[in-house]
Amino acid sequence: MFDLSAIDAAFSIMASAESSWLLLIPGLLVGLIFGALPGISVTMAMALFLPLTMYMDFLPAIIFLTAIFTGAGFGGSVPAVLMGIPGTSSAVATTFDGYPMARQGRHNEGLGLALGASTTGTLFSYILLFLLIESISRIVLKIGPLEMFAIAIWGMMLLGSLAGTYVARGLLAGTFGLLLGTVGMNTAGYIRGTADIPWLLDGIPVVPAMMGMLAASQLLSLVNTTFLVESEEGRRMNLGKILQGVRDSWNSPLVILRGASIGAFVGAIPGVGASISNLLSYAETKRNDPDPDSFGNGNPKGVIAAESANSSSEGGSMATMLALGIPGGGATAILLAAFATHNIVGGPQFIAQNKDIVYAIIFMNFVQAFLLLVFGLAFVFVASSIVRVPLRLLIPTVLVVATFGAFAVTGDLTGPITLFVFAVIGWGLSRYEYPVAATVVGLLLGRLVETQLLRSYQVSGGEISYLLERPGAILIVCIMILSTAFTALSKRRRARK
Amino acid sequence: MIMRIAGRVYKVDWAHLLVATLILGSCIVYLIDARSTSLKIQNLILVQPATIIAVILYLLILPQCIRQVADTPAEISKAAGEITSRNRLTPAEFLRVAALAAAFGFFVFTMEILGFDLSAWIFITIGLLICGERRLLILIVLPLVFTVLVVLGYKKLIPYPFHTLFF
Repeated sequence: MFDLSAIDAAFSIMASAESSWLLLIPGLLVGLIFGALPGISVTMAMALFLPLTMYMDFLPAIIFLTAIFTGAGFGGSVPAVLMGIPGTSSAVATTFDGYPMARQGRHNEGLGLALGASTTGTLFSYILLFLLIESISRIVLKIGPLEMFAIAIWGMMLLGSLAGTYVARGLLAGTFGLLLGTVGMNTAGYIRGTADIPWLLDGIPVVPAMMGMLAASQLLSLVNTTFLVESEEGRRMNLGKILQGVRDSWNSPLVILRGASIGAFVGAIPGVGASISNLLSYAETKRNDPDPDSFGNGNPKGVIAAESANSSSEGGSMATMLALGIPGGGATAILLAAFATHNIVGGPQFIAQNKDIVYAIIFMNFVQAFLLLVFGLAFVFVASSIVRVPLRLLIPTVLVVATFGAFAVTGDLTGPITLFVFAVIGWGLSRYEYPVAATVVGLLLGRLVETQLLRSYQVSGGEISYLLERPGAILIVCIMILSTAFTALSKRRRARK
Repeated sequence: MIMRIAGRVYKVDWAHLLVATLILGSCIVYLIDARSTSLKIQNLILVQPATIIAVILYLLILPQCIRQVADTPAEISKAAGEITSRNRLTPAEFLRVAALAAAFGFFVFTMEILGFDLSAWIFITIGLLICGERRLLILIVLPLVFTVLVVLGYKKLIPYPFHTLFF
């Protein structure tokens, strides 16, 4: 299973790679700061620093970029918890319980939970990568459009569980989002719903829309409130409570294990990644919890589930990139570009010939996870002071940052306009208790669901019997149905009591 | 609002009905647009079933917007006083939200005309006033300092150029 000589060689490489060690902390800090800025994604942060790595040796360059990857993965959870701004799609589920926690004055605990879960998730995914890199790559190659569709539908099943008091409103909000997610040109070349606006051909810009619905709409609702956290006591920064949050995250090992496993597996699938894994993990944790109704109202397990999954997606996507040379998303595409600038081609050949380097990258990422805990702690302590700022100062300034962030995503006014339109839509929806989160999930998955459904239709020629040839898809559907049935049963039992 | 329709008394939540109808309306308009593009399955494989589901869900939500009330003075009075939305706002509170949304819209749509810096500065100043800030020093200093920091920061960070008047 393990190549001991390669492991030994990896330790030798690490011992002689002083520059790699020196770059770990700057990389993490860059990632933390950029990840916490709305609109600056992990990909953008890594892309900005890619040119710098051209002047480094191969290993330090990759370590620097993976440190940014790790730091930004957690950095995104800071605005998600404190302001309800996900920044990236991978932090959407973090806002569901993290932001209510902040509003209740439990922001210290919420950030601690996110940090603890992120650190453990990252560590777990790299351990998994170390143990299963070759098996994961074999499984990934067998995943076809039907399996992808089944996974996306699994994500869509969240809509039911995310819906709050009124299930029908949640499902309508989700269906609305799903349809919005298909606006533009589909993979078959048909153009719908663009109203002759050229930039809608590529679809509605998801990140600005998400920022609008989840954050800007919230800020509009808060205009009549004085502070993000009403009680003065709750606004205090408290390192002890942050540490308590970190410890509490470790008191839910099953939630972390489930989240990290989902994250590592889904993260390994190209094109899916952290944006779905955090939602899947959140929904599964909610389904399996004895008190699912507390989710969305500041349940710590919601934060742990989301953060353990999105951070462990990093290891999963690294597995696909290292083993197959296929980037799972933007961040791994940049890593692959860094490989190319050093005249190295990722994939099976790379693993076969450079196992020592692969192991060195994995071991350095173990260290990164521990360093993230230390530097993340200092970072969240400083960042949590935002709850002490009166909302009358915070609302206009955060709206400006969000607008510049939206511009940074699209490079033109389409981002800010989308942000504004969806802020108003989100405000209208939340006023009548339509869960905006369901619309966001639909919007995120709409294109993926349609594309995979279309591909499955094309591959099968419309024959239902094709399903029998795809046991993986059947397995996913069975898990989905069983977990939904169990949830329905337990809800019924609780209602009877 | 309490209404008498065909001899029966109903409580109608018009604002909620409007929101639900707008959602369904946009789904139906989208389906019509998609169908006008092509009737092929490759085009409608998801859009058509999803719109049908939206119609069914709308019909399930309708009773939450239009609810029959027993025709007795006590029941009618009770229904009239019920809060239909958890997030109910007073007219003054609603006006503040609307004013901030309008100012935000003005900011977004004038960014390229006035310059990102000038429109951000104007929006922050107006936003502070709408949100209740009355200290002159804050109203002068904060918008200026924050605009400079954001504009210069994003200019350094992002690869796209953007139009500014001063910086």
